[in-house]
Amino acid sequence: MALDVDSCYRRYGPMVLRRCRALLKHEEAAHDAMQDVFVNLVKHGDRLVDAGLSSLLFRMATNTCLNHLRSARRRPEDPGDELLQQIAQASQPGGLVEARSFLASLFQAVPSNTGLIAVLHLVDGMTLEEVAREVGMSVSGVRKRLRQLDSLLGKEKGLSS
Amino acid sequence: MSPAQHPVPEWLLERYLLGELPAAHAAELAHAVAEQPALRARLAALSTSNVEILAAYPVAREGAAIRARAAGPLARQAPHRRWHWGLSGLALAVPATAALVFLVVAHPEDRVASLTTVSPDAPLVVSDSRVKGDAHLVLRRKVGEQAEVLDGEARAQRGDLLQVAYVAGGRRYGAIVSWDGRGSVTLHFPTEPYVDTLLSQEGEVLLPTAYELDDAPRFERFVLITADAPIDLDLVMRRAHALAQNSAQAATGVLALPDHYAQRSFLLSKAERE
Repeated sequence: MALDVDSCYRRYGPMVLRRCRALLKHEEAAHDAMQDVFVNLVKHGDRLVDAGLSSLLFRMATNTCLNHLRSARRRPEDPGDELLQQIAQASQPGGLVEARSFLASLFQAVPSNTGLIAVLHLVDGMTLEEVAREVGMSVSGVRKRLRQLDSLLGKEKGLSS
Repeated sequence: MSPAQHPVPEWLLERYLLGELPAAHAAELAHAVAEQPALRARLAALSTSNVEILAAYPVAREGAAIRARAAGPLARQAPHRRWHWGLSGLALAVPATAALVFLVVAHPEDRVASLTTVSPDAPLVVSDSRVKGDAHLVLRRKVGEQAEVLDGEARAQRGDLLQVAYVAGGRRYGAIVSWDGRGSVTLHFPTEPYVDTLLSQEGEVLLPTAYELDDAPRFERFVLITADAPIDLDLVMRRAHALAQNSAQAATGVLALPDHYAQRSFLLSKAERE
């Protein structure tokens, strides 16, 4: 699918920036993240199917912001931020097996979209069915990922209940 | 959805404003918007915000910056890893007939992890139904500091970390799904439902992330579906879900897919961890 960057940004840029602002709460970081999303879209545009992009860009923005939060390790300013920061750190690909060996880094323990699933469910309030539709998994698969993250976070209260 | 009882989330309003909600969902939300002034105010605020953002970050400037970063070497996005396997002194615990030694080098910027097989007798995975061409799955399990290639007799257990790879074998399109003894279905490839199902033809291709087995009983089954035309992922997921729920067939049955779809299956029996 050929991607017209200007048209795509005009249509979706504001939505992506609002998403990044909501998760990062920092204008400059949000603007950076917004550009990151579109840069990635351009780079992989040849692999996109011709369909509405809002859902994909929303997920890409969420993942990009989680990456920013992981690298920034900002001090949480409110309980919502703290949850987001915990999700970002716990769902970091390779976080469990970091640097034990080259094979350990090859075998990343946490699937890349676990953080996305957690944010969609816990932060955005999507139902398990809505999350499953978003990420192309079964509801039971989504539950499984949330249980996995739950155990990583070490919380007594189940995330997936 | 019941907007009267549950606040309409922001993501839903965004898609409604963009006209990208499914028709039935959009009609339901349109009804709620007509009845609720607060929803109309939120939509108006989003429209105002659109204008403000495009004024603060104009299309021409942002578009140019995005194109420049996409074309240049200094893009800031998180690196993806591309794994090249070559000769080194680091041995993996693979069967004797396929003993390979590898050197792994991570390159940023590439999305799809790929692997060049360096042995002519690289392990072929036991598979079952509707064999067409040479497309197949390869599963590796992390064992300490090594990785072993699994064959069709392999048994696995909770906590095992698996790396899935595929070989397209000339088939142009594909999808990889798995399900377990509890009926949980996971789409492994493509990693995004909106990304097309084009397969890489570069030999053995690793999926970007590994998969850790949980305590689901009996088995974990991976299936590679291939075709010469794009795969209908909705259909595949519906049929996978149906088969996974059929306890008598889930481990051995064939997905009810069109004849031009080939399927290769890899069944891992589960053993309880001692």
